[in-house]
Amino acid sequence: MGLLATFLPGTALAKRDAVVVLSRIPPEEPALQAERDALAAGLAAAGVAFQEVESIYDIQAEDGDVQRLREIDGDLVFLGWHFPRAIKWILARHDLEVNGATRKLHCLDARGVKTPDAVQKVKDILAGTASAEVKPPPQAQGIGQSKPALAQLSIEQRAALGEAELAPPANAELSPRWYPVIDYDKCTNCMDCMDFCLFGVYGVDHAGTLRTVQQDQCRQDCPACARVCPVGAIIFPKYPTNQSIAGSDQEGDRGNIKLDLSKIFGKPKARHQAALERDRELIKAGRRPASADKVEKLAEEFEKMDI
Amino acid sequence: MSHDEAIIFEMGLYQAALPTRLRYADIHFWFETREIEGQARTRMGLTSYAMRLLDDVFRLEWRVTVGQQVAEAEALGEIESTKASSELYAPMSGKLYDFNTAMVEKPAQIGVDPYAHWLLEFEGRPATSLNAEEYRAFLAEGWEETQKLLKGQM
Repeated sequence: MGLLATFLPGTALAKRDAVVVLSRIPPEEPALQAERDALAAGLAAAGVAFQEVESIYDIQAEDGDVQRLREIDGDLVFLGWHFPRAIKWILARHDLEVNGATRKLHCLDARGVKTPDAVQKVKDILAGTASAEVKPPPQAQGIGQSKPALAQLSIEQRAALGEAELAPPANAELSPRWYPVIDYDKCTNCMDCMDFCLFGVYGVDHAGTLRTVQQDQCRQDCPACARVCPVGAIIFPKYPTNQSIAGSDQEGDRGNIKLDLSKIFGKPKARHQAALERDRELIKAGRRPASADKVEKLAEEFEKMDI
Repeated sequence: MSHDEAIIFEMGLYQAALPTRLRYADIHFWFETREIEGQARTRMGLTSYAMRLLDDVFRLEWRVTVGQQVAEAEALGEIESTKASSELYAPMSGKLYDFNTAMVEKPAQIGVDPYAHWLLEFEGRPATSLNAEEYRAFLAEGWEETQKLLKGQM
């Protein structure tokens, strides 16, 4: 049966039970602990076996949890604390197959979901009557569509090609973590983010594909490159105030659709705002802001302040 | 409403009062600059025009801290009402002196009288601002476009 499963991926033949994995909560969101405890208890009470891993966004590539996830070769039901699209691409970053070529990956955002509803959803997925796969958007132009093979290389293969993540730098803040997650269903490899980021977070692999090569050089809470990305392919799963940047499928897709008055209240052009955010991070890091005109403007303001 | 002298901008049937003692930013903040022990400090809040667009505000969140140097147009936080939400951007550059925690706790109060409830206080004064008449002219000029923008989202 195992052989059949290998040779006939995605068929109903040789159906194995999917493995359910429950992520621990991100360290900076202790308020979710009660929800998570209730969900774990609910799954156990319903007789649903599950594995636990540390907060999926926060674990390092070499952690044992990543290794255990890679060893799961069947369908995977992942319960986490980010938007499903964010969960999908965090797992992709750990070299898990995410787009259904060899197995189904179901991603569930457990935040704010009542325990019985979440447990029922998991049971329905296990029974094959429901799905939580995150499909590429219909108009997706991303390179993930055309180059699936690269994402499927094992970590060893990638390391051999010099494509494994670099080790975190000594000065990196490793907990809580903060780095961009790339949605390769959307990413067109345009490199705008790499040109924009001055901290060396982005690089390319031997195939010329954009990668986050030094993600822990990323500045805590800075989402600037996500605003620069022309196709919305950069996710900061922990970004609190913009659901689109945090990996929601669409703005306003959770709950009521509301008017967005940001333009009226002075939303700067995305690129302008991104430059402001980057400059602030450069100053914090003891470097000069990149936009010279901004420096001039500041100098003018200081003059006006008559110090 | 305040018993200030004010001019009116008509938003359909709604009359948005613009007190003439205040200065304004085109992103719909009012400014009130005071000299305190020789130092200028500017309090600011949202205008009645802004509040009419938002309606019942139930959430106001700032992502800045007191003492932080803020650049004009920098995103500072977020406001949400029953029908709309928006990021809020700095209407001036300067060091944040204080914010009104009472309005964070009970943001619905802002709608009762937006000119009686300041939200942020900066050191210094805005480099540029409009008087009530200039702000009204600005609103009048953009009113058609604003209505289109609102309707386009509905």
